[in-house]
Amino acid sequence: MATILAIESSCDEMSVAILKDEKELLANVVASQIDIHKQYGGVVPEIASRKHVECVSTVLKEALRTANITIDDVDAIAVTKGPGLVGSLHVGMQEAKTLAIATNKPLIGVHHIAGHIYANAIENTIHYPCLALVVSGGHTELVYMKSEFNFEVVGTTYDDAIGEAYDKVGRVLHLPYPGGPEIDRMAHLGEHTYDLPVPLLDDSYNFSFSGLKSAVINLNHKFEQRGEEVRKNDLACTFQDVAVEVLSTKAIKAAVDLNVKEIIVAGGVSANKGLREKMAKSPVPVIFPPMKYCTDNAAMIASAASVMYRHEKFSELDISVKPHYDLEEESVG
Amino acid sequence: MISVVMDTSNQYLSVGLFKDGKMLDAYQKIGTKRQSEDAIPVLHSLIERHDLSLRSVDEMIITKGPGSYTGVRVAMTIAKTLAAIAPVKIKTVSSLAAYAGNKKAISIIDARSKKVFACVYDQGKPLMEEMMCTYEEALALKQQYPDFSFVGQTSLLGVDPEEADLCNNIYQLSLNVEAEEYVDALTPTYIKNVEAKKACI
Ligand SMILES: [Zn+2]
Repeated sequence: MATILAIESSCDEMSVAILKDEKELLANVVASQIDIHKQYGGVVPEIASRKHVECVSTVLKEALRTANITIDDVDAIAVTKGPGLVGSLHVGMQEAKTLAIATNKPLIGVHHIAGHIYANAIENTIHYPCLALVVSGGHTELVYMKSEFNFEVVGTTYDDAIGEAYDKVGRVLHLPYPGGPEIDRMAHLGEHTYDLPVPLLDDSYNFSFSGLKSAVINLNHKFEQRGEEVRKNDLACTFQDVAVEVLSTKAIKAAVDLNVKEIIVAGGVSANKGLREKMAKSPVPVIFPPMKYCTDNAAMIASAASVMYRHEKFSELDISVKPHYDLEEESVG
Repeated sequence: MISVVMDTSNQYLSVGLFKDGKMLDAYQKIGTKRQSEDAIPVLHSLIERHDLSLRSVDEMIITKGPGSYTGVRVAMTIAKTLAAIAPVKIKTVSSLAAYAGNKKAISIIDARSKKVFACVYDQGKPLMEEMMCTYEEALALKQQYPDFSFVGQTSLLGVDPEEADLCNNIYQLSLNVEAEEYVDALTPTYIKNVEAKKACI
């Protein structure tokens, strides 16, 4: 049993959470910069880093105040060590290291995707073996977990991550950034009327979304050249339908083949309603993280770190942040 | 009174420990580009070696830039975090002034893309605004200030560099600096603006 203070700053959110005994979330403060990056149509890394250092102490103080504890009540300091934007990660890492040496408490460097996966454990209990469907702006992976905190990547994308494809389609349709939630909304207003290729629906557990993305761009371009306007809601619906169809089909196939107890969905795209509806038809039980833990937040990092704490997976004080970390290497057992 | 001095803003990692105005210990290493990894381990070992605890430090004196983007954020993040959980006072000193100390000096820091950050100091006082300029413009400052010597990353201008005593310089400069009133609002000095075209898409 432990109280974990966790920091997540891998992209454009600075967040500090305090989680007691794995389930009792005492605080989860998130300072989002989305309104700033919206102006640029995407996250500007240097601006994200500058904003992080600006709010680093206020977010920390707000989390301690909300949790109504002092830093001495904390048993370990956790932080996202990667993957992510290096400049952004650095701020959270320096903050975590400072807290660790000031309190003489262990430091736990957490893989960002392990955090997304363990967002599912905050309000639910994960039953192993399970299969994690990781869907975000940087990842589209199927991860087999034979036991707690044991990761085996059984499928991945050959090209774009699903969230990347959503963002690109959003830009082509001139939707505000981030495009994903907007496409999801529009898809529910439109109909599947266009003809788009189903991407890589083969026997493997791998994905490919660049062909689908290009087909949307080409279709839209054709309409523009003819001086016609594409029916955006219908195109959003068709794109989403095809995308979530391939995600769910492959996840369910892998789950059945690998004989898992459940499928857990993780990452920013786990908030997608179209995906949630499609996965509801799975014969294998599926759990989604609560909506508030789908996007980046420190509660999920605290959740993963709570498991690591039990396994005494601590980090050295000279730990680096990295844009890439191998999830499988984080495994215990 | 215990003071910690820290500079991570450009080519050095410098950490110093002072007690009542006297240096107890100091660490200074150039050119490793590992400030982010090493800053905390070095600070930790210095504090431990002198049987101190970080939270009982009375003041922390840091450089605030200009310098490398990542570098200027390291010491500042450490200081802001510490101030959130301990009654430590924070003082900041310009990274350019840190090289000059109390000398008559033209201070130079690499700003990349064939540019430097530059400023002229006398007795710790800036005689101009910190600026970003070309190598030629920086060299031309010597005509205006003939009895001032170049300090900092002077090899960029073809001037042999001197080893700087950063911890001492920063500590001495801090004696004329007030502690920051609003530590939460502290931000590094960047001078350069962000080029928005570098959005990661
Ligand atoms: Zn994420």
